[in-house]
Amino acid sequence: MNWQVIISEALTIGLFFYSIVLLLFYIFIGLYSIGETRKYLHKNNFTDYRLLAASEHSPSVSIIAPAFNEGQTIVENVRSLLSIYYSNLELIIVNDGSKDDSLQKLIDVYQLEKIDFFVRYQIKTKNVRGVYKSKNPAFKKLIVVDKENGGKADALNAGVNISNNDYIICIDVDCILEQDAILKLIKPFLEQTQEKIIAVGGVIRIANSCEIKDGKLEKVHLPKAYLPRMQALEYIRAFLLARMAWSRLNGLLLISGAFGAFDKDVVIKCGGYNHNTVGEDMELVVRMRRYMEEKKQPYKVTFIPDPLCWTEAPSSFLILGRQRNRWMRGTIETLGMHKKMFYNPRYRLLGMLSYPYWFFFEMMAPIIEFFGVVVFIIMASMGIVEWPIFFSLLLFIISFGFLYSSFAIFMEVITYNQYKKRTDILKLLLTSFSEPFIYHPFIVWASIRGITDLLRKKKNWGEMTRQGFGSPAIIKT
Amino acid sequence: MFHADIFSNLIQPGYLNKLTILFICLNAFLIAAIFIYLRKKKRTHFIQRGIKKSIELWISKILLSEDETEPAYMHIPSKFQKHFRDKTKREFTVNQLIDIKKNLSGKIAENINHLYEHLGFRRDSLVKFQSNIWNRRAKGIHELYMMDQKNMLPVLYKYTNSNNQYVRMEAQAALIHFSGFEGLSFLDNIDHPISEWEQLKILEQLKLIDFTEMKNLGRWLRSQNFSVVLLALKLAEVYQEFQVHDDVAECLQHKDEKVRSQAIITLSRIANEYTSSILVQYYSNETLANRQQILKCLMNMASDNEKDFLVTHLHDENDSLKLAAARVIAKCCSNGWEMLKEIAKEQPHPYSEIYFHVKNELQ
Repeated sequence: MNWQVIISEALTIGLFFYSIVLLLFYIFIGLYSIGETRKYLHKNNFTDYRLLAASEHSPSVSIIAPAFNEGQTIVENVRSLLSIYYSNLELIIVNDGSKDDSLQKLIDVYQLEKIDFFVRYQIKTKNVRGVYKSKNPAFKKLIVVDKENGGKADALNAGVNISNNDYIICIDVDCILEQDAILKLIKPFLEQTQEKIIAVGGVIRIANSCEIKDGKLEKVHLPKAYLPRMQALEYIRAFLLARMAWSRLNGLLLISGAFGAFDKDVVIKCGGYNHNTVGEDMELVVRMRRYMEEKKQPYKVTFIPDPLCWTEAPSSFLILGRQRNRWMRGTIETLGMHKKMFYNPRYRLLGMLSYPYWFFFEMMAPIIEFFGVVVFIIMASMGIVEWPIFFSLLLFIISFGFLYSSFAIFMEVITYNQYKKRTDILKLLLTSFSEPFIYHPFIVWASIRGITDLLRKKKNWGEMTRQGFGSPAIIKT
Repeated sequence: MFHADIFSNLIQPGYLNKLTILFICLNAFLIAAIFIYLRKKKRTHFIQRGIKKSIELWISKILLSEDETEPAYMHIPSKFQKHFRDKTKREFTVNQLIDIKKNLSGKIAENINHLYEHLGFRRDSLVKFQSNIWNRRAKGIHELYMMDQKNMLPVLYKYTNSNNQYVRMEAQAALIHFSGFEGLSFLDNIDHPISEWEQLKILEQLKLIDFTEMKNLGRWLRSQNFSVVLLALKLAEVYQEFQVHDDVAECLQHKDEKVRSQAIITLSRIANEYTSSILVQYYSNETLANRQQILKCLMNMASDNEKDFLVTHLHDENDSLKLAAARVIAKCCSNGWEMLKEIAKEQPHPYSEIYFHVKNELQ
């Protein structure tokens, strides 16, 4: 056997086993998530969340929303956040050195005045220029922090420093929360007796094409445009299956930066968000877990399946590409920063399963897939592809992908069923058929671009233009 | 990638094709299941809406009926008799009755109980209660106490110590529902931790009940079960149980940080002339969070006796403690404001900012 054959065989066998393990993981995740969702639904079947809203013993919560050049939509976004139902709450908007009129708009509309505020820099951040509170008691929950520009992580850290409360909920300012979102997100912190809950994540849904009035979600529709619709399906799969399964295993490594609740004390002890990565949301969760593992304190990062937060998904390939490029860079940076945990038994499930899974199947998957396509093209051009096997394999993978998506839609329908119309479900199913040919290759390509950008040491966030929910009643397309 | 020799050894197209067919069949099955489910759900929705409307109408008739000899609930309309043969519809109706009853009291609420019994729903609740599935058992208990089935009390008592958290929680709620503050007796025997959610639920439930003395409060404060101590401290705080002041003060030595934190809060609500000095005494051994808690509580009870202590901690390394100490000095000490102003002049950073922060907050 010459060396070319040896390499070829090694690659083939390696790829074969990689694919088998990946498929088995998907099957496991799909099935394992059922138990967690069922348990959640059963235990909250007759929960009266109003108790938590009214009780003087309910924990105090700060919502922290960083804003950078959000002048077009900031007033409406803050109005939406102020309508959230929870008594022991403060809303901290961090103006991260916006160059537009965001701050002035907030001052004018919410009758803000600069107050004397001693900022405790428990986490190091860029300088806070001022803290504003409203003269109008109707907006007493609102605190606006004006600071020098330092990026999203820095703005979140400034919010943590300003917060007076026990728990923080970090969200994107343009997200629309359900009225009972905080009640549902905070409850898991109160339920555990054996382990400390350090973070809770909630399901994020796509708001494109939904009817939104005065910052509130009036009616849910399936996105009309292809890309947001595809992302709606992708989010259902990710949140309802993958995150629920990882939550059950207590191996969750990511709580989306768009919506997550954290124990403030642990966040501060860990040093807050890291501004050296574009994946600050994942990095914080990994560092918090690592901290608890090293302290040998029993803990859990949990996830709830309620659709609580609605966000606008990118509707153009350009913006989506930038987002996925950033996600990939964030993943690689985070895994790089915590490489010590890789197959390190000291970190138990975190080191032996969660980290390797992210390494092999989240970080490496696009690389392997891209490499596979390149090799395939070369081999095809050399005429050494055995086409019957190729087509069998292709059909096998595509049918498995459809099955996984259908299962996710089935779970959605029997649990929260946000899309009531049968035609919407049908569209969602049809959308899944197009995924392997349009959406997935693009996502792989965007991830590869992320890797190359990282190698070229590009650190930018990537501009995310959004249409916003600014007008009084709009249907977003 | 698709090199013939290697790949055909690993993958037989025949097997792959069989698996593909299996996936396609499963997919077809799932898609069919989705649409059958959606259709069923839509149908159920309309049926339930109809039942809800009819029930509300029927109940309002029952509630308005003044016939004592033959109450209106004795006559079940024929359309309901048909509906109530269906398990799902019965379940839905019970939930409706519970929802309606939540907003009612007195004779009207009693009538709902009678209706529940007359329709045979109690039997359904008992079946659920006897189930080995935890969520059905918890639901059964919930229905039984919401519908005031007081004779179930002795049976339910043993479930207050059930291994399942949710069954336990419902049984505890049932006990309090039936016996008020006496229902807290389950705290004497409970082996399992009571989560903060359960504690909150108990405290909120008790708010709706007339207060009666909690004879065992002192014992609960000395319980080996940390969560029982925590709940007892909250009870002492809410109902201002001054007589347990010393027991609460003892909790400042407890090994659990949360218990000590709650003890600090409770002491501030039942404070006497010694409380400030007791808190000051424990300050140096406490965690950062509990130190902050002590300073926060001292705002309601400190005097010039604590001035030296407060000035020392005004110069603590930690900025949060500095700020908290400044608040107490400004609020509780004679010439506190002047003193803070003086320190701010001598050392503007950070004391000038602290001075103005406190001034903005308190004045």
